Amino acid sequence: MTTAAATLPAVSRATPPVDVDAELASRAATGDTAAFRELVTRYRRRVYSVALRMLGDAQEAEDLSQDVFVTLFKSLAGFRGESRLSTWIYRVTRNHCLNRIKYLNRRGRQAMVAVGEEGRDVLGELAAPEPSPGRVVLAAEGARRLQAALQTLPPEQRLLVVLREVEQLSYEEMVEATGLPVGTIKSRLHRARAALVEQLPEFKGMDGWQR
Amino acid sequence: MATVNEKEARRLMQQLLDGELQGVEAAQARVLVEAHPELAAELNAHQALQQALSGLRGADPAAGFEDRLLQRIAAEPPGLGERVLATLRRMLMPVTLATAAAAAVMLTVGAPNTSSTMARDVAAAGLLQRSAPTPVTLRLRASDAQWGAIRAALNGAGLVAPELPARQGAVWSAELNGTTEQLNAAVNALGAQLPVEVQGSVPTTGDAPVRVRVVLTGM
Repeated sequence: MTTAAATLPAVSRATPPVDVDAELASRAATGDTAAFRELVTRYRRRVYSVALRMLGDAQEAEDLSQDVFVTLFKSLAGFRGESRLSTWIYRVTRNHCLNRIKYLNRRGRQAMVAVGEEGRDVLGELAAPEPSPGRVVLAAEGARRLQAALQTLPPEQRLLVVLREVEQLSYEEMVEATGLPVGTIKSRLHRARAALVEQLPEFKGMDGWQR
Repeated sequence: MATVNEKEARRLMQQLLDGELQGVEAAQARVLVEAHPELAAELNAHQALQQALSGLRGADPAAGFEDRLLQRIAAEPPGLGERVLATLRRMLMPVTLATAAAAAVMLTVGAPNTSSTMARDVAAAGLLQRSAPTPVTLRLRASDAQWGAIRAALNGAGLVAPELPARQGAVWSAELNGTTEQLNAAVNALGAQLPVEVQGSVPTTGDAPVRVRVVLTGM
């Protein structure tokens, strides 16, 4: 199958950069399924990653990611390009996540990630800039513990941590994606980080990294 | 060396954590914060946390995500297939307006359900490029703590595995999509490390699609 990317105009140094997202969104809105498929391919990882960190369960995250893209499919015609497509998709993802968490909470579903054994080494491995291949299992355990701690945060705080610290969004993008003022975002992030450090005392005494 | 009071040092620490200071500014702020041992420890802990959180980035859904999504969209009620139908109309419309009008009358009067049927047909033909995958279960005598190594073997074979398996009760599992060839490579790679049991009828064609459920049965 021909991909949408293959049919986009080539960008030379002399021409202004093409906004590939806007181009794909525009084509997808008119029924170009190849363009929609390409959009899904470009964003599936980001959507799924946020969903996984918010929900803590791979199957729930897959279902929610599909819901996000179904919403996108239905709504593309109404996308005016006033915000970046990426932040719009994050906003849709945010709304779906918060709704799903409310739904799950009403049914008494709690965090679905098992907390592993205590130990500084697993988190130390996760915090290391480049974990060695031989310690991947330790890193997986550290990820699980970190995920379990994330699940204890209130959903709005968890979302901010995921968008900022995991997805590495800028504050400008976070404002667009959440609709919150930047001051509110920062103060909530500080509280969330402090709560996580309290949950994971192994981090106390670790050397930090320059960002 | 210049020093700042604790309140100012805390403000600098927040700026460092927010990524607002770079280069020399950041280095100077760090020195000022580190003059307050409690704040220095807090800064280190928070930065280590930030580093660890950034390591959670980049989880991938199981392979075949687009196919499953498009299959779902195609299966939705006709309203959702309208865009697909619009595409079909554009493809079929190198005809005169009169012919198009006649076709529209036929669609409306002669076969009221045709449009939704057509939408589904188009979805099936145009969106779904593969036949239904054959379900196969891989039962591994391993614990979830070994997932990192198992995932590496699966990925090496071309079966994209999630960062973490899903847990249902005491059972850990993951659903993957791939081909018979990738499945065989995965079984070979995993079989060199631990006991593997294959359940299901594996297709003989190398590129036949398979849906692989990996189940960790514990040690």
